[in-house]
Amino acid sequence: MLQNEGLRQVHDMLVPHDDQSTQPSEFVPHLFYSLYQIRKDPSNSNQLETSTGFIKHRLKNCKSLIATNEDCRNLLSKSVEEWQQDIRNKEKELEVKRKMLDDLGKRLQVFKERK
Amino acid sequence: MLSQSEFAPDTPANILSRGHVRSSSTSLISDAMSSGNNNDDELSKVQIYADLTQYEEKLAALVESVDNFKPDVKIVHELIEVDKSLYKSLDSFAEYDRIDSELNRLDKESNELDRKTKEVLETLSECYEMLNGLPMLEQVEFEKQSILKQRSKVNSSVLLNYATKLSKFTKIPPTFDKGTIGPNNFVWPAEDALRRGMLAIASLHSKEMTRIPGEPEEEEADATEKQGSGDKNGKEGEETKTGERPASPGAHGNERRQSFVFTENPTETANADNNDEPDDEALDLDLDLFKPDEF
Repeated sequence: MLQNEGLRQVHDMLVPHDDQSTQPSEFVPHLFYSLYQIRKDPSNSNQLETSTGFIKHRLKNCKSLIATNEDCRNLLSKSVEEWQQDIRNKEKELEVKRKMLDDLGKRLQVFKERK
Repeated sequence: MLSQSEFAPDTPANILSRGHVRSSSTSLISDAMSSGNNNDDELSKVQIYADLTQYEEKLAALVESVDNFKPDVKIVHELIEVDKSLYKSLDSFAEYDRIDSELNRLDKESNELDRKTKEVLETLSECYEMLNGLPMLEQVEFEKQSILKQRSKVNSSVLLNYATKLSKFTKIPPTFDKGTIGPNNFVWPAEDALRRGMLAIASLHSKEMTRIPGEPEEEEADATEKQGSGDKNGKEGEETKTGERPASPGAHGNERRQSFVFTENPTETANADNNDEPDDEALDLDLDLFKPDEF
């Protein structure tokens, strides 16, 4: 179960079944079945347009969700490797901040003991 | 409701003003365009967004090819590839979700550290302000010295009041030289000197003043003896008799005792009465304090 709201919505839209395991696409079998139906009945060529409608609708919704959700867009705009590098940098910054605060606390303790 | 531009004729001024309106709104448009460009830049970097777009394009191409009765297998293969890419990107959502949680944790920790640092710095700033508000050590020392100096000085009125209280129970210090201060240097005698002189004279004549009327006068007998003993004091003895005569009611027992008359030179009288008195008493009775030589 994804914690990020935007990611979960996009995921649920593309993979309706709540399963974290790698799910094969349901679009390709559906398209294969539609093409098979057209092959059986070539006169009904509009069937593919109709049957792919729900696929287009989901793709459009997913794009809209990603485009409108700033957090999600910002998160997905970088690769995993780039984010890991960022996290390492942030941890280093936090370490510096922690050290500075500790030094400040030690200096204050020295003043307190001196008093 | 019609806007103003619909009523405004196409005069040069109106055209200029419209241009001005356009130019003033350029910044807003440029802001919106820049934000849109940023969004587009971010979206172009989002892999799954690109996959979705490509999926749409390939699907549209497939539908079109089928509609045209010219199905292209290549498009189908490309669609399958895009589908794989899309679901591969979707699989990375778990990793992105973990990254998002990690970033949230780091942000939270960073905010907490920032808050603590801010609190410490604010406390330090308050302490600094308080310390700045305190007076300097040199100033405190100076004020202390000035206060102590002021305390060491006693006000003259306070000192005199205290001395007045003490004077009832104390005496003049034995080492105090009376000649250095006091009325001795004045041209007139002080009241205490006057009183002292009167009392001293009165004490010299205490026998006469306290003599009971009718009692034999011893003084006269003594004076006769003294007169007989030598001519040196004879004259003085006469003067004494003359001076004492009014004060010796023994000769005229029924006469009223005359009051004491202050002679011009009481020293002589005293000397005449008591020749055996020591010289220092004569000095004490020197009431003529005016000494023209001193001035």
